[in-house]
Amino acid sequence: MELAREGFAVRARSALFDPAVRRSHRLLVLALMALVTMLVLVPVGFLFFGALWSEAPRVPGGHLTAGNLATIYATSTFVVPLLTTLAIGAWVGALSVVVGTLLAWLVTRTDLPRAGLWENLLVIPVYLSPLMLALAFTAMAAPRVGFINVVWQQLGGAGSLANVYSFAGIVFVLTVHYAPFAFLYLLGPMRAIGADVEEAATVLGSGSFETIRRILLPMLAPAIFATALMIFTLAAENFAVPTLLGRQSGIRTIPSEIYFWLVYEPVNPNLAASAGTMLLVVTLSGIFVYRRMTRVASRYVTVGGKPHSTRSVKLGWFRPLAPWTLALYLLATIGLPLAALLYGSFLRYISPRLSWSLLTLANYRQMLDADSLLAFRNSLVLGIGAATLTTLLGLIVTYTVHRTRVSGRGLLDYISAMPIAIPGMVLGVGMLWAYVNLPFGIWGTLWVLLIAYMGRFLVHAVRVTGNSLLQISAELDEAAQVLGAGMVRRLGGIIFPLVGRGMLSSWILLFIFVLNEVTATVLLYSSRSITLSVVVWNSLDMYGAMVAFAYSIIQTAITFVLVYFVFRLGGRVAW
Amino acid sequence: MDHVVIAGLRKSFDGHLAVDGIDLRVKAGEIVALLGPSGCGKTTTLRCIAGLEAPTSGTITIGGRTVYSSQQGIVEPPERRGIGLVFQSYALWPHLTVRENVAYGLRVKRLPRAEIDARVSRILATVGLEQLHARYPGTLSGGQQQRVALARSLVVEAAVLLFDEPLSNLDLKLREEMRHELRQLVKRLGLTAVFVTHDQTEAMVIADRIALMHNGRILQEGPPRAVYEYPTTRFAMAFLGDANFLAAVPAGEQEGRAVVALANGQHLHSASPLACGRPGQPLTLAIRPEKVEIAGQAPSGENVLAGSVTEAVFLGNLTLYVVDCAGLPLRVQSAQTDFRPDDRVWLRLPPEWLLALAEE
Ligand SMILES: Nc1ncnc2c1ncn2[C@@H]1O[C@H](COP(=O)(O)OP(=O)(O)O)[C@@H](O)[C@H]1O
Ligand SMILES: [Mg+2]
Repeated sequence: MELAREGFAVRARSALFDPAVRRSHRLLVLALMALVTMLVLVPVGFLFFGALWSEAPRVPGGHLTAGNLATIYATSTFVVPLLTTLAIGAWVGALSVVVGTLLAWLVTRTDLPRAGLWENLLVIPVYLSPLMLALAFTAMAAPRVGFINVVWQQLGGAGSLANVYSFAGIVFVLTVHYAPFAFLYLLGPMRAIGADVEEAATVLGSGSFETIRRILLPMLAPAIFATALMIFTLAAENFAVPTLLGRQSGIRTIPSEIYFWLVYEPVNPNLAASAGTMLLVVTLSGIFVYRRMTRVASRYVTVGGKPHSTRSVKLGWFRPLAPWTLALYLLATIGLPLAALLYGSFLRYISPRLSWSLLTLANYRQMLDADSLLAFRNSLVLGIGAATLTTLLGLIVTYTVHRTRVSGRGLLDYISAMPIAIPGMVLGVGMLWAYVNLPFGIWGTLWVLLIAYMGRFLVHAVRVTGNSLLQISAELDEAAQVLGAGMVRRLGGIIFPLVGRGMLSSWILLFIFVLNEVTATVLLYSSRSITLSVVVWNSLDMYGAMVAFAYSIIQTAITFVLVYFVFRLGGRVAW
Repeated sequence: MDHVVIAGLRKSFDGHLAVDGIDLRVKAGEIVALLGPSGCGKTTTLRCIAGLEAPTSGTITIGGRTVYSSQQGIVEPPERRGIGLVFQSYALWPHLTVRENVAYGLRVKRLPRAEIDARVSRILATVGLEQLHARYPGTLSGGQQQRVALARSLVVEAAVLLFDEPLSNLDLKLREEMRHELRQLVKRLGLTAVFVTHDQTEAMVIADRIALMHNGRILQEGPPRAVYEYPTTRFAMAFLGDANFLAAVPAGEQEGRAVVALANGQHLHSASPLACGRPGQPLTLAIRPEKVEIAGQAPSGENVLAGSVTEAVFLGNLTLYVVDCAGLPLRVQSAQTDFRPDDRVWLRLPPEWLLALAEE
């Protein structure tokens, strides 16, 4: 008996000093850190290498040089693209928060009928790719041949009523895309302010408008400003919209310059990388100030109050009109453009006449060629692969960060959130520099795209799965731990099933993002790894706009189906 | 044999000491209650024992095996400590049935299927849940969920069970029933248990020994009766039951017992050694209302105070009187029911129950 006990103690001791248990946790964090670093930091490192190297990749020789950076930062050649990029960011940021604030106010603080439904509908443009929106507005408002302008001419007008190939057009399309982001961001802070604010003000005899101007807006100012900054960085780094719409009128932005340096002869990957560093500086400063602002903002929005009774503002005579106004807004920003896109996709060529007899399926037939089918297949494979791997990785990262005590988890959280500040273009250029020289023929395969997508979207997976992980009590995990279950077993048997919904939301969201990713993809694809979004992009040059419209319609249809499932799951984009 | 030994346990959260040097020994087969007000560090202590919280310093030994030692750098993860833990929230897995919840710990141990089934059925019968084995936790009442949580911890036959206020989410009636049931169950299975609660009655019913906690420390430790009858601090006196506190100063000694003077000049005897104090230093004396004797005629003997009834509250089995003794209000609990307000009465404060307390 005594002996047995002794044996037990000895075994226990050796288990104790057998560092496998603890080491396994440490190894996990190290592995995660290495993986996340490879996905996120390696491309950024290679971006700087490319900026400082004298030759293009694969060219023998070469040495370090500051020449390329000097061209970008110290000569006047790049002043115009920089200023244009900043101006686009600033305009879109400002306009988006104006629209977003107004919409969020209507939905959260007034007696708008069916506010819940509107809340969902108003978010839809978030899920549509900027490229698709740009194409839709091309169909709608291209000079002379856009839908609006055709109608205008048929009514006897001269020239063009609207021209989307302009700075204003770029800002407009990006605002349509980003205003719902502002709306989403501001819902929370708006709701957090108690209804007593308005009630108190009303009792003192101040009207609704006065209350908004004097009380609500000042309280929300930090949140609104932070949102504007976030959108500023997103719009500034946007590649597809300014490049597509600005080309004809010679509007140059940093992302479009990078693109042209990499894709059009004579290529100059070193200048592209140098310009990438400038874009990175822009977004990093935006995010830096944003972080500071949100810290201030959170101080404001914790203003208490009754959470369920905030919708106290009476719209009065405007109440029956409000839904129509919102419907009109949605019609103008997505309904009509989508209709124009759909109509255009059935035309063989752009015509100033409107007639049924012009309709054809030829553009859709184009999709049946081998290249397009390959692109479909690749997009599907990448969507499924990247969504699955990124969601799993995201959950494991989030679990490690929130539910373990392993040291280094704070750093892991930090690195995995960094892609927020890394533009797709920068990631693409960095990946190009990092992978183009690798052996085993990795370059030009789907793997490169998969790695790029994982790096670009990991942060979304971490946030979405994190939100649902935080909703389940840590004790559910601890209960299993106390019963002797190791981490793998707990993840599989307890955590995965309980955050299943969150994982599914994250999966679908990532699938949508991957399907619509064009910025990094156009820099990294090859004829073998071509994707649907690249086909849309290229078909503009190769087959003309009408085929691009048709591809875009298909892509949008798939997106809508997936968005429907996101709504069914109650999911949301999250940051 | 001491089954659980905690020595010098400290835990700080961002510089704030939630547990501030705890020493505790739990013998095999003993139930010890950690009793204290909310926020005094009970849960943190328990989570440190379980391994769910990393202590700042100290040692923890379970069954002769050191599972935590800050000096030796030993930190065993919870899954290797061989303990059972019943959470205040129950922490049942909503996606598993009652049976699957209970079987989880055995599955983890990779026991044969047949044995798992047999043991789960047996424990479900023990806690009276055999009918509900296929239900999901979300469809059960609070009391039933509590039993599932209990069964889940019991079935693995861990030598040490930790309970974190397991009854606090039940309604009063059920809570009182479960106290007895729980104690009997733990005793029948011969388990060692640490039971955390903020309810002094619960602690007294369930535990063999109470460790009273305050501000992250153990103030006093002992069998329920000893802790209740002989608290050593003002806090313990007040937390464990109703009490009269009297301010006094030492006034010598008589027949080996301390004599103290109250503010109104009255002298009293106390058997408490602390009451000797240092001359001139103020003392806190205390006596529980049920220890005060009340009479309609002046009794003979020492420590008798005359006063008049100011309040009489009928409590059913007892009556609570408030008696004013020359400006000193005293609470008295007595089986006698016949005194009315303004009646003249005499109180005797037996010296053996007149306790001198440390302020903290
Ligand atoms: N995870 C934590 N982080 C910071 N402070 C904590 C944490 N857990 C407990 N505390 C603090 O430690 C003290 C003791 O808490 P706890 O052990 O839960 O008390 P009890 O269970 O006795 O009510 C409290 O002041 C509480 O605020
Ligand atoms: Mg507690």
